Amino acid sequence: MFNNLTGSYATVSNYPGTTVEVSRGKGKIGSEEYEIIDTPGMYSLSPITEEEKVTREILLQENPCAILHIVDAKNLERMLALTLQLQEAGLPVILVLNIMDEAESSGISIDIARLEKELNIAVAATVSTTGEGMDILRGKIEAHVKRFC
Amino acid sequence: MLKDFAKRIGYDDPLEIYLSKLEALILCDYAISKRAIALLLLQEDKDILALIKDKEKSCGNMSR
Repeated sequence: MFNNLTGSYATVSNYPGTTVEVSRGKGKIGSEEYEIIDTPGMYSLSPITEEEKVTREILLQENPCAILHIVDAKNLERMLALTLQLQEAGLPVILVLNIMDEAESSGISIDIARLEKELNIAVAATVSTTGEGMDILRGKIEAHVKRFC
Repeated sequence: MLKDFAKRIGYDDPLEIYLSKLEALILCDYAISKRAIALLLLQEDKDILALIKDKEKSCGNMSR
């Protein structure tokens, strides 16, 4: 997903004071170029691991314009708890249902429009390895940025 | 921006009562909502406690 949004060039460095790696790159979405940060995964705003602590620290310090919460579409129910936590924290979250091809192969069908309505945030379905859905995601990021940033 | 995204999730009392009390004590603005800060404080999150102890002084909140 990060490579798809940024192209090939990115810098990878340890977050200050830790051994946790964070990738930063530039990505053009619409006519504007943005800094895109790839953080370690997290499952809750209450961090347990050093990686989760770093990710929360970035959320608290970097004041991001948009947060892509990328989840495995097959495990949506389990992942939605963090989506709601991010929303409850007032963070500008966009939900990305990735690996949608595997979810569909497993017989899982997700009503994206209804999910958007229920959560009141942008939701996009993607397969980042093939690029499927990435144009729609870029469009939703662009609309989000125009509206809120 | 916070107001545009904040989704209120309700909890049973007495949690809501304590959340409201804690929220009222937080004077500074943070990257996340005061309600989220209050929830993390109720979980005895040491990093958040250190953050607000440091920042609240700058908002004139010297007593807590």
